[in-house]
Amino acid sequence: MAKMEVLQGTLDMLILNALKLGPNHGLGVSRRIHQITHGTFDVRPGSLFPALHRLEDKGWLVSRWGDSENNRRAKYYQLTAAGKRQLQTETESWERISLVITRALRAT
Amino acid sequence: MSQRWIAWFRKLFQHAAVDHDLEAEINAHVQLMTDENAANGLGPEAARRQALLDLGGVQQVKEEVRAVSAGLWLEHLWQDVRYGARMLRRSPGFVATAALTLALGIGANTAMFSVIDGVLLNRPPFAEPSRVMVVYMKEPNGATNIFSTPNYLAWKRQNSPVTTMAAMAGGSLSLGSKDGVERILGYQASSEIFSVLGVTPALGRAFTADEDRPGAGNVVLLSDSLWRTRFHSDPSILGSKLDLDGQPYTVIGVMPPGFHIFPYTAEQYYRPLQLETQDAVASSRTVHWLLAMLRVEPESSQKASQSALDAIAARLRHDDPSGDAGFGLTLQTYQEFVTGNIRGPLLILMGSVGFVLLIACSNVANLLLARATSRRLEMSIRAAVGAQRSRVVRQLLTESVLLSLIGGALGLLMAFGALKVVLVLNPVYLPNLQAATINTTILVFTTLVCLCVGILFGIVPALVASRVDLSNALRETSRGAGRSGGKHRVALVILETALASVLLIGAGLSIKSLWKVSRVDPGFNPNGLLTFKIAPPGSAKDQPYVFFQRVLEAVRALPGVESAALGRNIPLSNVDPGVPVAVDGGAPQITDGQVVTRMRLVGPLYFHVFETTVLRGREFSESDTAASQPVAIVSQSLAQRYWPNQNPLGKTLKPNLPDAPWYTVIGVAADVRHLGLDTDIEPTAYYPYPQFPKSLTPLATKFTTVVIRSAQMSGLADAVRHAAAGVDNTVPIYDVQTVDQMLLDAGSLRRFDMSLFAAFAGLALILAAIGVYGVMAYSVAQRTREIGIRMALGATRQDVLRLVVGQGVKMAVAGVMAGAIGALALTRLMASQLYDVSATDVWTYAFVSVAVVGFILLASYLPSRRAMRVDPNQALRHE
Repeated sequence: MAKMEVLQGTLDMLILNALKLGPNHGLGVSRRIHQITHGTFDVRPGSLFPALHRLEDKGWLVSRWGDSENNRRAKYYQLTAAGKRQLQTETESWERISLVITRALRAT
Repeated sequence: MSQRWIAWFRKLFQHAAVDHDLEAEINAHVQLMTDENAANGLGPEAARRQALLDLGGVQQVKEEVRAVSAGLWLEHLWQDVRYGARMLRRSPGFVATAALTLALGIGANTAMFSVIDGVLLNRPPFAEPSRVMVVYMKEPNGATNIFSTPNYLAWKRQNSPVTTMAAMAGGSLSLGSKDGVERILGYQASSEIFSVLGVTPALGRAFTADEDRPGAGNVVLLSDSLWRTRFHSDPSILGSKLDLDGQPYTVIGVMPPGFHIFPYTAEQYYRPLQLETQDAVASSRTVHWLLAMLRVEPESSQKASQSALDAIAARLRHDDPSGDAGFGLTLQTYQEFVTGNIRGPLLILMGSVGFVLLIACSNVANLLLARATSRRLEMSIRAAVGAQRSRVVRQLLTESVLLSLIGGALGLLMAFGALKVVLVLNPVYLPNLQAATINTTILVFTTLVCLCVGILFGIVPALVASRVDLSNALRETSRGAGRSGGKHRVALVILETALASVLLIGAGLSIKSLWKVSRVDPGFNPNGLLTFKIAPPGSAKDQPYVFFQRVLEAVRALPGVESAALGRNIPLSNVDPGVPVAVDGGAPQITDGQVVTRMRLVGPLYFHVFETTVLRGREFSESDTAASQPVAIVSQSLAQRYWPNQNPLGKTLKPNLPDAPWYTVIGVAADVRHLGLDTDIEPTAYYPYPQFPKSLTPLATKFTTVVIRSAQMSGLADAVRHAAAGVDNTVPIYDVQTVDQMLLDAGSLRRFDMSLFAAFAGLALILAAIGVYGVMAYSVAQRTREIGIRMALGATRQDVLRLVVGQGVKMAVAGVMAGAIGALALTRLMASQLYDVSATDVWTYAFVSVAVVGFILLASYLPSRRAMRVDPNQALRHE
């Protein structure tokens, strides 16, 4: 499958989803998105970091400094309660929309 | 949301720390990628290079993050403020001029709004004041009146949504103590007053319905101020006895601080009404003496209450057809009752002062436009290095808001001073003016005004300044021609001239009205008259008139006193009782829209003392006694109404009062302006004291006014007080004042209105002239070269003068014409306040137009002198 630029607006949802399993740093989030989309989406640092900071400003993420598995310092992001709620609503609305659009496109 | 705020403040105030953190995060990211690349088999150097390549540049990522950052606009604002402050510091002359201009505008607005806030927006000291209504009776002739006792009781008995109706009557009592006696003002009110107004005493208790019955004993509540000043805030006052009008009254409570039923008079006591239904006054349908108030249900609107009342009126009329015909009630909100007559004038003043602010704004906008021209180089450089136009506009607007905030701060100081002056002018009938102070509301108002004004005067100059044509601008010097601003400048000058003209026309009409009023003949000579009131002591209750006469004799005997007379409800005393009259044996005539005949009770020599001309017949004398034939004197307008083209002498009339006799007219007196110079003349009948219906004498002689004509006024008040005390030292004389002063008081609101209007118009004219001067001076400076060429080509100084002044005249005429059109539309609003002057008075319009053009000619003549002195050689070498 060819690599795609992440759609505006879906990036937030993907990041929140990537952090569902637990706190992670920027590179980890990027790798996780790569993994869960089977390599379809590749998030560049130029889009990733602004998005992470924006989500933090909105109160959906919190960050703290921690040590990585190979003892490097890195900034870890974690979902807040509000972030979990947001992920829930976004997932639901996305499912509705995608269903409707898929039907619409298949209709003749 | 709070997290968002924390993020903002962190980004604003811990800017360096946040930035450092971001950089560390990105570096850590690079490190992790390098590790990863190394793990995938790249050498350390190559691994790092690849990581940096993937990242796309540390600075770029930082910029991307910052661009979405929550605090970005706040950060920019802070930058703009600091930069703006720096720019303003660099041109103190400009800042001083602009800030001072704005301070005049904002200061005047702040002061005026304080007055509005204190007077119109003042919250009455009641619970939910918007539900409190003043109730009037509608009379058959369409006029409104207060209640008579039977009317009030009939209404009260009805089971209606308005069950809590309270009645009250103002009055005064002599408060006796060992230091002497003092007359204090207050109210008699029915016990419902507390629930209608929604107040409870701060100390003690309210009086009950049982205490509000005749013969229930004397109880009284004190005002907070009386309690503080006379009784030193002593709580043990509760239960003690006070001597009021010679009777012992038990003090049962003290009202809360700031409480008053009405803000006009200093109310000191509240006592139960204790309506006697049996005596002549109370049983009379024609003695209207009770003011009623009620509290409407929260859900019922004024309209719904009104229709409920109308239904009751119809029922009452059905039950008792002998009652007043066409009887009904009207409701007015308390606020409307208190401020209805002054709201219009005050709002017009607020509007005028808004005009002054607009003119100040135009002036500052002009200054900014001129500055924009000299800042073209700066703007071009900003544009050249990539600043967006919106960003530049925002920067310039920040600067102008800063400027208006400086102006606003100065304006607040000016408003403080202006309020002091306003309080000195203090018109008698402007309630709660003392409440006009600079408080939080005012500060919020002024801040909002500053923000709006800053954007208003800043937006056009900012748009003009930020429109940069890069290729030309950088080549030109900063002293460019600035043609585009010129159009705006002329438009602004025309606008402010127009605004100033509107205000001047308004002020002119108001001044002309005042002048017309001052020439009105009041029907008496107010100079050299002193009046005072006195109530009979308990010992003279049976013979009050005899007591009054003894006081009168004592006063007449004083040195310097030329003449003196007794009268009830003298002119300008603000009490104007009326009662319908029947003439020549007929029934009382009340027709739609007709004014009820006014009633006065006077003693011998009354007309002589007032110097009111007795046109026909004679005035009352000592020989008009209770035993002699009842006689009356009528005003000229009354004679005109009932006996046109006939001799009124010898005709008879009878006031619609219980056991009133038929009175024979023995004299016709000139009409008197009873309530003030600018009020209408109403038909009036005068009756002699001793011949007044016996049943009403207790009411009529509760007090009397003594009027004294004397050549010597100084020391007279003391001499009179002494003389009255010689007759009886248990009752004080009160309301001692000259009739001149009463006349001044009656006209004080009009003078207040005129003074403020004139001050605002004057301010507007000066600001507009400064604006014209500035624009002309700037234009001359810009056109130095052109003028030099003209002179080199043979233009004389007169030609140059004509060139410059001609431009000024064009702007002035355009402005004045626009102003006259605006005034035609706007002065209609003040038509009701004008006296004997049309809102489109040609002379006022013409005079103001000529004056404004003249003033602006002067303002443009000064710069033109500089233009005439231009030396062609110098001017051409200039470039």
